[in-house]
Amino acid sequence: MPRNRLLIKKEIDAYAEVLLEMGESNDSVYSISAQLEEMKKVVNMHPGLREVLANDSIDENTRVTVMHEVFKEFDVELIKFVIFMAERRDIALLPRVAERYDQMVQDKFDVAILDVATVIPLDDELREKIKNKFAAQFGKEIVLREHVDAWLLGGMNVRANGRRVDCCTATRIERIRAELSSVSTGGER
Amino acid sequence: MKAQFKKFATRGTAACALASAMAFAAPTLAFAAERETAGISAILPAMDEFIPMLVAFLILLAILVKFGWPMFNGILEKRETTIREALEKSEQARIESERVLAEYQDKLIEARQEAATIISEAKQQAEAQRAATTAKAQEEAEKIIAKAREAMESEKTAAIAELQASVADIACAAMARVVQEDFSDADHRRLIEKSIEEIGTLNA
Repeated sequence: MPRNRLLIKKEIDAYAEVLLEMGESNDSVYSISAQLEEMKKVVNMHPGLREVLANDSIDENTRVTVMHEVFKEFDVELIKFVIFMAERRDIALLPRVAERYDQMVQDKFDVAILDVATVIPLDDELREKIKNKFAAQFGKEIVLREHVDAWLLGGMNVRANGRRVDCCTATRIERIRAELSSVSTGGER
Repeated sequence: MKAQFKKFATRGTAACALASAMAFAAPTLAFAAERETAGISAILPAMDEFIPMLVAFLILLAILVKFGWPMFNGILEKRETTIREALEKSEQARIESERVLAEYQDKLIEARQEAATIISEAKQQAEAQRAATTAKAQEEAEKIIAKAREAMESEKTAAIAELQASVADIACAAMARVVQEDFSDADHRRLIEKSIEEIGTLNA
């Protein structure tokens, strides 16, 4: 049944606020942010998982077990929260809840959350360089959410506030491939 | 003509009478010769024979004029009528035949003209048809050639593009493989540092 946009926005705000309270009480505000980001990706990529989460005929313990299996390292409270959303048939709102949560965290703690994807894990020196680079741009403390992605081949991707800068080697190679494919032979037409 | 015929008949009758008289006289002359008379009397008939013969002749002539001549004249008139009618009929037939001939010739001329017109029109139509067919065939041939050229160009372009894409794919796959397999963590670190230096602004 279609719902009013304002009601949905209020619902998203409520979910995000609950998560923020949960993060503050557990001192895991940024950890929840990173885990939400990963959950969002995984749930988006696996419709079957979304179906299991939203299926009332599967009891809660089973769903919790499935989620634990999928998200072994993740916070138990967060997993229960996501199952709760699924029971209310709101699992589709997860990306927007994660986005709203990040926004609330950034506003409340005056920080900028950056998603940084690299082929190898970042060391402290690289983290510091990245933070310094973007602190100047945002005028805020930078919080990094790190992702290791072998598909990048090299370099890194950075995303913040819905904007993304792609400096990975895979993209560069793809650009080279596109250029090579589109080069005119210059012969007789 | 009738008058001429009558004149001719009258002369004929006279000649006939003379001949009859001579016929009657001839035996008398023969008899006279037999008597061996001499002088003019040798050629003159004897009156005792001549008069009865003349009377007989006149009677015969009168009979012929009275009965023979009308019959003869009737036959001639009938014959004349028949001939005239035949001539008239033949004249009418001739006129009719001339009329029919003229009509036939007119129709023939008309038919020839019509035939010539039909042939001319048929030739024109055939020529127009031939020209149209030739033009259409030429047009279709040009279209086919143009399509074939387009198809050839398209296939050539597609083949070149495919070849380029394949070369690009192979080259990029090789590059990716080199990066994946040969790059050490230190290399990746350098790449990340380079990216940090080159990266643009996120807070536009």
